[in-house]
Amino acid sequence: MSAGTWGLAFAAAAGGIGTIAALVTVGPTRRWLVGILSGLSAAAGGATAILVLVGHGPVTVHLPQILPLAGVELNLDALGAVFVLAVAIVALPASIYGIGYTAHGLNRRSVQAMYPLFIVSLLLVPAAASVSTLLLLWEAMALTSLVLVAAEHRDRSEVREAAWWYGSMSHLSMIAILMALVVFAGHAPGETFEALRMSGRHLSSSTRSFVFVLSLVGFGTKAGVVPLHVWLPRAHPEAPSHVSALMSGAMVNLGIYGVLRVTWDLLGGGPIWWGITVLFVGVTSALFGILHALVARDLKRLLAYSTSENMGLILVAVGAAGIYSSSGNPMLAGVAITAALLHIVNHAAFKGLLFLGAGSVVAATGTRDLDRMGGLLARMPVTGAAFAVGSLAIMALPPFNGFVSEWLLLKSLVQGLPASSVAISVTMPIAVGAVALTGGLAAAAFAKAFGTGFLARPRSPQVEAAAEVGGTMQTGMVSLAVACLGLGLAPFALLDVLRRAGAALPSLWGGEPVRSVGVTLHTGGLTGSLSPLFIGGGLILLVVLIPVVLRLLGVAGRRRVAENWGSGRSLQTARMEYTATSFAEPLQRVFDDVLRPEFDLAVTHTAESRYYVEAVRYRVGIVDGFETHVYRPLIRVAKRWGEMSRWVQNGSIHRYLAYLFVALLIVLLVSQ
Amino acid sequence: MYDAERLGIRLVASPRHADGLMVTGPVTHNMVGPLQKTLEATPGPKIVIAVGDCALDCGAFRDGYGVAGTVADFVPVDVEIPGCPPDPSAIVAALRGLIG
Repeated sequence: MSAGTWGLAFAAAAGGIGTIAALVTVGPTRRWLVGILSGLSAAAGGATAILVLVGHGPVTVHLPQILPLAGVELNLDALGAVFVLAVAIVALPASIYGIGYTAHGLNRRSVQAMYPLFIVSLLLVPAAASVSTLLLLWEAMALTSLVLVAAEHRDRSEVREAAWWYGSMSHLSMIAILMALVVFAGHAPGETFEALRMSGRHLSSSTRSFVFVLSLVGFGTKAGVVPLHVWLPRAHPEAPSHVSALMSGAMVNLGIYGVLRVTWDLLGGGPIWWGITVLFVGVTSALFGILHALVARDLKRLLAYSTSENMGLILVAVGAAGIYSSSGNPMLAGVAITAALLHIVNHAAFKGLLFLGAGSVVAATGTRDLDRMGGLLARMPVTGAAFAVGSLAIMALPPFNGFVSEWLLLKSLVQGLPASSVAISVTMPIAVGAVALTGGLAAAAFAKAFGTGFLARPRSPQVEAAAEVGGTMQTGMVSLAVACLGLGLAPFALLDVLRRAGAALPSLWGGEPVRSVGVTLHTGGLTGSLSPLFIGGGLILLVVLIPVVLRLLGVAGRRRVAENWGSGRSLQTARMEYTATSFAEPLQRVFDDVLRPEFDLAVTHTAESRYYVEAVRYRVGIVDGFETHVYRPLIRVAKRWGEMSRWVQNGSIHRYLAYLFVALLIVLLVSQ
Repeated sequence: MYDAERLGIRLVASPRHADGLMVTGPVTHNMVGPLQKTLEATPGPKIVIAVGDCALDCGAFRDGYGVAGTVADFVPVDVEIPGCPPDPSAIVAALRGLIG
């Protein structure tokens, strides 16, 4: 057995022991054992992924005994290893965080037993090397996460509703994936990925397109792309926060993995409209996701919509890579796919961090409503600082990690512009515009989340009484914040190993798209280079230097404590602060046509005179347009269909005998 | 045309952005506090301009039950522009005198 095989075996074993430990122990022992064993499992998975990425070759495991007929086939290549690494980056801190977080009423047997299994399934999905293994692990991932989403189903009805949505959508996606892969395998000599890869290019173009569309629908649902995203803003907020971090940081990535693996590895790439479709799905998700994040009041819902947005950005990069490779420009395709893979790892780090931060806020205050928060930075300094790092990273500001991948993404899109192909010269400007708009709106959304949540003064008593969370939770957040900074300052280390992942997608890779010379990144064949270390280091230096110089000049230190400007009024309360709703209101007006907010304003007057106002009530609600206009009608139709079947199946034995008789007659007639 | 904006003199939305305050009436009991808060909110160096007889000596409102006093009673006044009402050219001339 090679080192990699041992790593995978250790990851699976640690997870399995974690589940058993959760079942047999109680109290704090259970929390600690589950946290430590899940963390070990994630660490082992991450170590295996790094081994594969630095060039120890793929890890292959063949276990014919486990699954009847097919057996379990695992093969962790460099492409899968990138995704395993992204899972490990979130799962290790989330497990440590979970030790403290689950003390708040979540230390139940069912929840704690599912958590290690969820991590093991996340780690193994990218290693699956046959259709049946992939489907088995995929389903394990969906079911364990469903149990975890429903963890607090006894406490809140929204949790039950979210679990229903999540369960239904993930099974619909399972059907799509099943159909795609079964049809694919039916046309191939076997069901291992090896066999599919050999026959992928030689299938008829209609079969290939059928597999592409269905796998995009199936895997896209898991990635939360619009319009298949409806489960995401419901399930991610209602799940326990360390699970939300795993779902948003790690699980949705596997949807992207599925698209990449099936479309550009097993099918070997396709016509240009595949790339264009993926790109436009990405553009729609990015814009729709960030607009809803912008107006969300619920902190975790905001983060969930932002996950939809980031998956959109990654799909824009994947789609652009597809377009470039179909139009004979593999070098640019390589830059785009590097941007996508790098953003997957980066998104795992900062979204995991933000969800853990949101979890600490929920644990300390009991609310997710941004309009009730405020002043948390003073009360929870570590959580506040960690959330600030995550916000800066997701805004794509240096020295944090979002900056490098979004720079590469924009670079790959802009550089395609002086192109001869019509498809490129039409789609790329749209993509550049959409990505730029998304970036700006993301900055506004996270300025809102951090500004109204952590700055200013508390807007409710329970937030006023908030206190910093415990040591394990702080460790989880701080380690992810350090990861965000490290990946932002030194992406070279990762970019060098991403080359091997790119080589696993020969249809999307050419030459040496992104080179690092010393600490500077060069994009192959393109002008322009970037040195994140110098930019980030310079920025940090400036931030430190400016106050020092000011102090030396004697300018700083002259401070005057004064009241906030409140138009001269004598009574000022925290109720008069900017809230999340009022901060987003101008942009909500601008994007009125997309968001379609429902608001009503009711002014009541005193009985004595209508010139005196007694109360003003303002209520604004923003519902997801896809949910009300697409899903609700579909659910109604399904319900009516169900009611009709009740007429057929009414419990009367006579009628069932008649059905049997008619069925027999039909069979006899047909077999004639 | 007495457009003072062509000279670079502009009304701003908040005293935080202002170089000076222009007070155009007597100070009532209710407005003593807000006047002092507004002056405090204005970054220094700052100037206070009392415009019109009402601001200078309460004019027709002198000894009114709601009137607390003149502007100079509560905040230091730098420039006085008399008149009831003051001539627009006198206001512009006084403002130009301030900006040199």
